[in-house]
Amino acid sequence: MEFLNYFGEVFSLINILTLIFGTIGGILLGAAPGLSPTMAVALLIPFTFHMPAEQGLIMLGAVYTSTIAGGAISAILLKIPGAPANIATVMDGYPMAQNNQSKEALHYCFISSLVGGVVGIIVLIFFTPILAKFALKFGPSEMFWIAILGVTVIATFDSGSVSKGIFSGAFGMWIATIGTDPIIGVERFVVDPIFAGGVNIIAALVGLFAIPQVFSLIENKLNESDIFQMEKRKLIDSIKYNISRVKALTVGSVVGTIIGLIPGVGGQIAGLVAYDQIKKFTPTKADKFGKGEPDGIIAAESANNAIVGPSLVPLLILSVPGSPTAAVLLGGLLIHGIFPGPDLFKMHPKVVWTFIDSLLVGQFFMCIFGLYISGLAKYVLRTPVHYMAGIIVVLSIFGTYSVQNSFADVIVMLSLGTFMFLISKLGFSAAPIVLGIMLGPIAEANFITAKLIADTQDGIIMYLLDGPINQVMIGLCILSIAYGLYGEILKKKKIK
Amino acid sequence: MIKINNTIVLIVASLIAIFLSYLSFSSGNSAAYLLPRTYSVILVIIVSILIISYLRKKNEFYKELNLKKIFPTIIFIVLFILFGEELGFYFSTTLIFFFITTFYSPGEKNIKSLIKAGVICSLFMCFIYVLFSLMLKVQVPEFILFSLAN
Repeated sequence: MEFLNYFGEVFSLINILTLIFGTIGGILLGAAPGLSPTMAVALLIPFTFHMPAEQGLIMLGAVYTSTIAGGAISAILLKIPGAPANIATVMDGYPMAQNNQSKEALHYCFISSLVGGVVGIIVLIFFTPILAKFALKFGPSEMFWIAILGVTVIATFDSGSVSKGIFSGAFGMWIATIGTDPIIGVERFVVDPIFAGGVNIIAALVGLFAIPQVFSLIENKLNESDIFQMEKRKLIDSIKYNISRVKALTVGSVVGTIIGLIPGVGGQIAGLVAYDQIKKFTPTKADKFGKGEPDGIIAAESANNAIVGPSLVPLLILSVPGSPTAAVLLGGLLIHGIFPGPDLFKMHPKVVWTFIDSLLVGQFFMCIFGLYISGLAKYVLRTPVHYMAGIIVVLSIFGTYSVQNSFADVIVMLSLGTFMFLISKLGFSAAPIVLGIMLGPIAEANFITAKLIADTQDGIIMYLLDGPINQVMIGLCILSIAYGLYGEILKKKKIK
Repeated sequence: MIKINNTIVLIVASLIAIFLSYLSFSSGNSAAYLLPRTYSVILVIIVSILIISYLRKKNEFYKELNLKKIFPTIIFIVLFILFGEELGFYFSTTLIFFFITTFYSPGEKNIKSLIKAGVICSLFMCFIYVLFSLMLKVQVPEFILFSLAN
């Protein structure tokens, strides 16, 4: 019950204001079509660099949570999911809006997100310390494999192609070797002295996630169709109905929690699986799904918010993120000098528990502000995309520069971003590259330590293969690649 | 509009793998290069897999790239990289913002729309100045705009 000791910290004036600001901002960012939670968190990281660690993480956590819920607004009113996690919400949300039930649909969305989100955070609170105790047994070889597993899992799940995902991950890990070698002190691939410390994580994050979004907004102008007017609907009626849908809420929350714990699987999978499951669990309503059935929204939204907490369990303890947004959040932890690992709760208990507690409180704020803001969101939905693109470029440039007053970082950010947009057209994904850049140094430091130990024993290969935990990690790497390949084969068969 | 197929994927992936392998293996024999070399070998192996895949389905289509549409923005980014520091961030980013909002505006371009974009651009840059220079105390290269204020 250690989390209760730090609960009061969330309610200090500055922390609560940060949480409210992050929640409202996140809902509006989520509502804006084309801005994903991953991009929103990446763009915010430079700003949190100037804040104390606690506030910075509270802000990022609030934005992470509320962008997913906010994404349902454009999914329901415009038929454009604000985030990939809201794809399943469109299926019944938009038909409900067409049936003059848009306000009712938005009510269900935020109430279900609250239920799913709270379930997910409770799992995070109780699961993380247990995993941390287990992970304390890990040595350098285990930590090396954990870093490799993190990149492998994101590479195989987040990309359409396993080979391209692994290519992206290896490319990111190669980029991470730029700079001074951590043991021998040799400068590698340093074309300018500014790179002696390696490629700045924030420059890479902003470049890889925000700049490609600018090009996408410019290239594919979104269809700004008419936005539905809100009908009159009492909130209490929606709450009563929503709570009575126990089956949909349970299916969504359980599916979201399980999928969140699996590293690398995003909210869109959780939403779609929950939607599919609730259809199977309620065969009597099968023909109503896709035509404006509230259970579809309730299951999908509770699932996509339930993944937030569990996706942070492997991130905080093993540095293996549960979703692409959690991977970006890893960057937020690293810039505040907080290195995820088994001893995280011993080294930074106040910061970590305040962050987790703020996620729990943030769920309630997300629901309250979401219900209120959703009525005003039509103004955000009407923001022209070319203004959005301009705003992202300017914020990316100033945000990246502000971290260490380096123009070289801005050059890296813009170059990587343009490069990422071009290779994304070839089917390569940003998340494995980012994770390679972030986990590369962890893999290298542990590999070198392992090598120093192994040189006095049977050699590095035997050392890395020895022990049940190492073998399980290697097995999981192979399993994730095999599963990714299996998924690819199934997908191709379906297309045929 | 460029249609992207497997051939382009293979060429780009091969160029990246060859370039990084060359850098990794031509930089001396220090133990510090062990991991970069390992990663570049992985890249080469993946390219080999892509070649096999390419031989089976040469013309698999992926996406379209509207180069004509994004090219002006790429030019602006290159110009910013070359001259952004000398011209100052406020001046150069104002130009980029104004360019993006006017050039990509779907509506008719007339004096009224240009003035509207100019006003929005000015207000947004004032917000950026307050946020970064006044609140976060970030010293960005300033050149002309806002340099008199400090």
